[in-house]
Amino acid sequence: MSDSSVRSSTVQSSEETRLWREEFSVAAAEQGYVERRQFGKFLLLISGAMFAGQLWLLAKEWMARARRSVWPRREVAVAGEIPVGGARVFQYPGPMDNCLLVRVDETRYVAYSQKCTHLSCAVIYSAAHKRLECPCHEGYFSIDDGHVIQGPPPRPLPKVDLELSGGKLIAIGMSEFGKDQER
Amino acid sequence: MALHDSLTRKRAARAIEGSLMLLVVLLVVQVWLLMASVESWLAGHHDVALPAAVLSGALFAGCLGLTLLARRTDRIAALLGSKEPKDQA
Ligand code: FES
Repeated sequence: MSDSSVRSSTVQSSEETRLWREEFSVAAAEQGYVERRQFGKFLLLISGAMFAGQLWLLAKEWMARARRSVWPRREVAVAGEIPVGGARVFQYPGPMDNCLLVRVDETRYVAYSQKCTHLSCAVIYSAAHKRLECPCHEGYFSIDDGHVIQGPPPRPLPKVDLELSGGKLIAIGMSEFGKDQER
Repeated sequence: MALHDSLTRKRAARAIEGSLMLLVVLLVVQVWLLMASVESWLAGHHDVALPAAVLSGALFAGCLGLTLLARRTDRIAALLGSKEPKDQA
């Protein structure tokens, strides 16, 4: 290819580019600029959503604090009606909050929230191993204080505080792992 | 000449890019903060909710400030850009 033909083809292609730009007058720089601005707005929106999430957590904390200060008293079973090694499901503190009452031995009863702290499957009591087991991913919890023995659950099971009065077992509140020792 | 080709426009675009980068950094911190505070709240550390909300609010205010700054820069650039042809004439 000769020098002049290369030059003429370059001139032609730049001419074509100019024509193309005139016919399709999309201002790439301007478009990019607007996109950046929109992206900025989008980021601000996400930031607002994060802040809203944090406020939601704060509201939840305040509501939980109000609820924690007034736990209802609710009869959950009559002492002796559950056999040793047996368990019973009851609802506490709300009608949707399933809990598990376990008779560990002749005189000892314990109760925990039935909701696994991993992905909320219902835990069951294994009398043979004396532990609470989650069948979903084999998460095990101690029957003594609810702490995680093995598996993916990240937190212990919340414990239901019980009171024996007049031969009846009464739920009087809930406590989390480690909070009993603080009190 | 076209406004977007002007130097001021380019500078404004660069300023906006810079503020966008800062926005991204603030946002990453904010996402991490929300994740960490929810995790520790669920683990029973209830006292984290308030300071985390305050900090998140401050980060949001920072993001808002950066966005407003970028918008102001843009407006100033547009003003300067529209004056350019007259100045050159
Ligand atoms: S849901 Fe219980 S271990 Fe996964």
